[in-house]
Amino acid sequence: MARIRFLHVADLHLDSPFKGISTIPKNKWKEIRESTFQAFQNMINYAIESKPDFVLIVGDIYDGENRSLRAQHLFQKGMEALHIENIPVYVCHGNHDHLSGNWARFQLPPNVHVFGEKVETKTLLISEEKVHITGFSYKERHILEPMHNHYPIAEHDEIYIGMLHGSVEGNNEHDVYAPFKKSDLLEKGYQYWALGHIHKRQIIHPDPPIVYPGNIQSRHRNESGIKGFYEVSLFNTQAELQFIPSAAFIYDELSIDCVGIIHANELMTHIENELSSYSEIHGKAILELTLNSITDETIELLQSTNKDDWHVLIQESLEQANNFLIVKELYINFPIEKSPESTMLLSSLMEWNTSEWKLALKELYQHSKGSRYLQPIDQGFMDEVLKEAESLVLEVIARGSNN
Amino acid sequence: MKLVKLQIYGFGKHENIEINLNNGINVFYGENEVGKTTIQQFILHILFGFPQRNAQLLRYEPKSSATYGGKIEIIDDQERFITIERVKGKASGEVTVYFPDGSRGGEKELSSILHSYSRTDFEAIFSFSLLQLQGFEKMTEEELTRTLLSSGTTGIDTLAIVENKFIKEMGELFKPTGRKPLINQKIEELRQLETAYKHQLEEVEKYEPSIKRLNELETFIQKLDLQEKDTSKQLQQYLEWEQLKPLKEKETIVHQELDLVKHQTFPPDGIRRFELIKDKSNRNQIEIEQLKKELDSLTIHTTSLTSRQLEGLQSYLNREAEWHQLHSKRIQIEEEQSKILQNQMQQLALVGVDWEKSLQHIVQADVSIQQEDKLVTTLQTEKNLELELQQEERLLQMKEQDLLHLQQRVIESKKVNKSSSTQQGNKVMFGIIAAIVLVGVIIGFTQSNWIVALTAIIISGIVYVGFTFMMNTLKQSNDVQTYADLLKKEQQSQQQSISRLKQNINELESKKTYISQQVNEFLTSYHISEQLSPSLLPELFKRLRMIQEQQIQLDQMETKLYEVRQRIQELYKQAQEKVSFDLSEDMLFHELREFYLEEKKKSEDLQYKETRISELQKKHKELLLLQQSFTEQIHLLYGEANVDMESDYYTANSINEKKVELERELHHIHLQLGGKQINLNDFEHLFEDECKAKLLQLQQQRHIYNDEKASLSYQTKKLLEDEEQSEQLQLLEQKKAELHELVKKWAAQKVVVESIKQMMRQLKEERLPEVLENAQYYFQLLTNNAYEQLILSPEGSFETVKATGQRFKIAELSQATKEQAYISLRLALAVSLQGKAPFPIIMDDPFVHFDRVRLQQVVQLMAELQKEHQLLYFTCHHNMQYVWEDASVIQVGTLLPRKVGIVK
Repeated sequence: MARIRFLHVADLHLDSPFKGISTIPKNKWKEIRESTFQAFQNMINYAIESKPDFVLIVGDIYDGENRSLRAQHLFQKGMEALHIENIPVYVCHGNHDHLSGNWARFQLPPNVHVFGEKVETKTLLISEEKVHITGFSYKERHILEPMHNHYPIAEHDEIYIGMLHGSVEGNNEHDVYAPFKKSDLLEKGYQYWALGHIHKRQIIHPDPPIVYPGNIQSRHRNESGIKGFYEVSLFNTQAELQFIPSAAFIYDELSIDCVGIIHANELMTHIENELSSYSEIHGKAILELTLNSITDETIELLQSTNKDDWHVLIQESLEQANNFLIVKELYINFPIEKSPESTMLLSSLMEWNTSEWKLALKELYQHSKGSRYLQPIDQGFMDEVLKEAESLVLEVIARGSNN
Repeated sequence: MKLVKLQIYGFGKHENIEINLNNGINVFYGENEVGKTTIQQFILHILFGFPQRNAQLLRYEPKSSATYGGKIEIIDDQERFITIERVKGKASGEVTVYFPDGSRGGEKELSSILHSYSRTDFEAIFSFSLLQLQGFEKMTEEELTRTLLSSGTTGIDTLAIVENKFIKEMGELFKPTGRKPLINQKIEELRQLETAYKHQLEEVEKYEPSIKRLNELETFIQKLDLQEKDTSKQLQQYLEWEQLKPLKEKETIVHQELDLVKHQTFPPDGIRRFELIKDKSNRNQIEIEQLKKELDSLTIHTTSLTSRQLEGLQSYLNREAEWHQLHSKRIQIEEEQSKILQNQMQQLALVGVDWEKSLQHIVQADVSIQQEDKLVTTLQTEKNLELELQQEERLLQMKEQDLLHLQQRVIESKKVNKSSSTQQGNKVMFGIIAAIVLVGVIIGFTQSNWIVALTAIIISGIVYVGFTFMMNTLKQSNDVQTYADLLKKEQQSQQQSISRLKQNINELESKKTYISQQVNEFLTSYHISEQLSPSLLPELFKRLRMIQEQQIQLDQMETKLYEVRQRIQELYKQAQEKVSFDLSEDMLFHELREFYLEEKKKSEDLQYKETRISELQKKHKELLLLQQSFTEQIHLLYGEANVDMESDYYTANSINEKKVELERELHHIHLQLGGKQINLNDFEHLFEDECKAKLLQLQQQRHIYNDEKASLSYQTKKLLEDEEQSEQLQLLEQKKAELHELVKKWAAQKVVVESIKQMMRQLKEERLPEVLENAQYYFQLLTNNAYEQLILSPEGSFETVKATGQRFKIAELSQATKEQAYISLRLALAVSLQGKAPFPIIMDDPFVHFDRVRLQQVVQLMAELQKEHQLLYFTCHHNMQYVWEDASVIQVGTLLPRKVGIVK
């Protein structure tokens, strides 16, 4: 068999906004906005340089409601750039950019092969080797049928690659679409399964590889860490996967230990150093900064000022440093004297089920005008609220005990 | 848990005190200022920590130098003996928890032993003091309820504070119908943003229709293009038509003319072919006639011999050779004959016979070899006999001689000795011979006279022979004696033989004479003279034989001759037959030959003529056929032209030529027309103007479209590059995030509030009835059933129901009853917590206001309670020491260092 090399990219979510950040300095807005485009461009540039045999894009190229013209235009440009290099691109649409939408259709260059709503297999020849790529596009937003049933079984001696935008069994983080089990895919006997839909990169099965490359740029504080895509080499049923980071910036959490810091300038310098060393390693990032290991002296210092003020101070210093580093959130891990009250409260709160939550919050959620902007009450939300509750309660108690 | 032992290092006024405690009631009796409260505080301090320096509570640090602190031994809920020691250390003291397994712990472990109860929690439930009881009064019903109820849940006060604060803050964040609260504001902002965004989207919405319109325009323009092309094409067609019109008209005319002559068919190249054929035909005809003439001229005049005859003649002529042969043979034979005859005559002559007479006899004579042989043998025999005779005679002579010799020899033999000299004499002889030879040879050489040499040699030879002979004879004399004997014998034998010999001789002689006679007889038979010598006989025979032979030959020749003559005759006859005239024999063949040649020639001539004739005839036939074919061809041509006659044919030709010309003209016109079919009526004259007007219109339309297209292109391009949409979106998201932060805060507060409320409710619904029941029971007990019920009204306030059925709110009760109610409630609460927090109940003289009866009641109650609960009762009333039977009483006043003071 010949060696084939290709890029496996998914969940571009072009022009999607970054959700969950509010405290961004204005001058960084544009970069954040453009981050998906930048990540996409990074991927295209990489493809032009490394000249793979073909590129697979497995769904969610756009963000659904926001199939902006600009996104489509830039995507088309990217495809044309690949067309000049004679790199074929195989695209299937996922739940966010499904085929039943009402958006302006852009003409893509002939190197781009888009899968239709029915499962089909496209074949290409690479150094006399037949490569069959099977996939389908979401015809509507909700595809609940296990689409893998329609995928053909591989014939030996020819390379079969499957593209599937859907949820592996057991993953409920994202909507459960086109579900499948690992064993279902293994049954087909393909040499590689290019998956999409789950934004967290994971390799479900090593050999043959069944891979979620994750999205190429994080769009939410929950999508932390390095984002990118995979470059895959298939040779004689052996697969080599190389992860290529492509994000314009990453979202991450950073803990800084503040041991023995008494004075404010000490603190700021220490934080700045930590942050700059971080940015040297990881490049641009949006961080949730946590100050840890706070000893007594530092407590005094930190408590002297409002947490928000500290936050602003840190941001300002970062701007002077001119990296793209944004501290989105500042947590100060005071050694907590957990009051029994808060423990009690929290323990009882933790036993609440979803309906109890809904009941408690219904005042707000039933608000006609505002309810649509609200986040749904899911586990993540509840955890967040609990955390907030604890800190608030403690704050009150602490302040109460001090009074 | 139960307290087992108290060990005070230094606390208040106590130093190094140990106090042992029982499970049930422990009464601490002491007068005022002995340190009862101190001990109470000690327990609380050790368990819950020394209070902060600036706190309201006293620390009770010893004024003396004693160590501040102490330890308490307890049995915890798991029946473990644990020691809790607290000494001075940090603000709340340094606490160490000693476990039975040797391990130690600190605040954390202590806290868990104490079920996370804080001092206030504990005091709120398990510590009964007058102050507290009186404090109850001051509370509102709700506070009271809450205090009572939620004392089980720790720190309800804090929670209350929390709740209040949160409610307040929530109000600042969100009100369902408000506008000022932050969340409300945020929502409003979001709405506005969203509307703006939608506007944006609407703009974007235009993109696709714009694209569609662009495509539409494109198609329109294309259509226009087509139309334009069409129209201009039509225009062009018209112009072409105009050009072609005259041609077309001409075409029609030509067509018409052509129709007239269309029918005419004519063989291609007809005239030429016709004339060619005609010409050929004529020539052919001439040839035929010529042939005819020639044919007629050839006649056969003479006859001649048939070929057979000629052949025979020729074969005969071949025998000329034979003829000549025969002739020559004849001559030859005749010559030979004469020759042999001559020969014969010679022989005869030799033989000496007269041939004329004796020829016959000779011929007939037997001259066979036998005879000759016989004769010869006879002669030979005769001769032999003679020789023999001679021999014998000679022999005889010899023998006689021999005899003589022998006799001689005998005599001589005696003379031996002289033999040796002879040897010398030999040598001399040899010498002489040699000399002779030498001389002879030299002479011979010098004189070249061989004869001399030879003679010399011969002489020497003779000499030698003679000498040897002599020697031999001499030699013979050597062997004399034996030799003599022998000789004698020989003598005898010799004599015998001599006599025999003589006999033989006689015989021989007789024979000889006989034979001679025979010979003579023989000779006469041959007519030969008797004088013939026998030696001539063979010769004679030979001759005779020869003669006979010759004769035979002659005869043979004769017959041969005859044969040849016969043959010649035959041939001549044959020749004669063949010819009509006479032939001479000499010139036979010559004449015959001439004749033959003549005849042959004639025959050949004849043959030639004949072949010529047949040739000519054949040719004639051919030509006739050819002529026929020519005629046929001409007929065919006529047929093709549909005529019968030559003149018609020519006419047809001319018509056809016209036709061809017309066709050519038509073809030419067609070429000019370029294969374009047009009708004469295709277009009207105004067509041109119409077309041009239309074209103009189309172009104008196209301009309009193009303009629109350009502007739409610009707009769509702008849309593509427009960033505002995504900016708006980002902003929207940002706002949402901000909202989320607020919502989070609000939600947190809300859920806490709700949780607190829930807990309250829970307590109300679950805990409260339980507690109330108990409280009611106690109250009944305490009031000696004066009151039957202690309930919580639906409004949330406590009510008592007297046995009489009257209801009294707690506020309406008397002081003591109030206290009783409180105590009941508190006790009920403390008891109800037995499961969760089995602490000892500490009472600090709470029953001072009770009368005797009621006091008795309470004592009774406590006596009951102490079965399950450890009670610590601090009092300064003397008789309280004795109210409980099995209580352990501690005399606080008499506590001495390291002394266990249990006084019964």
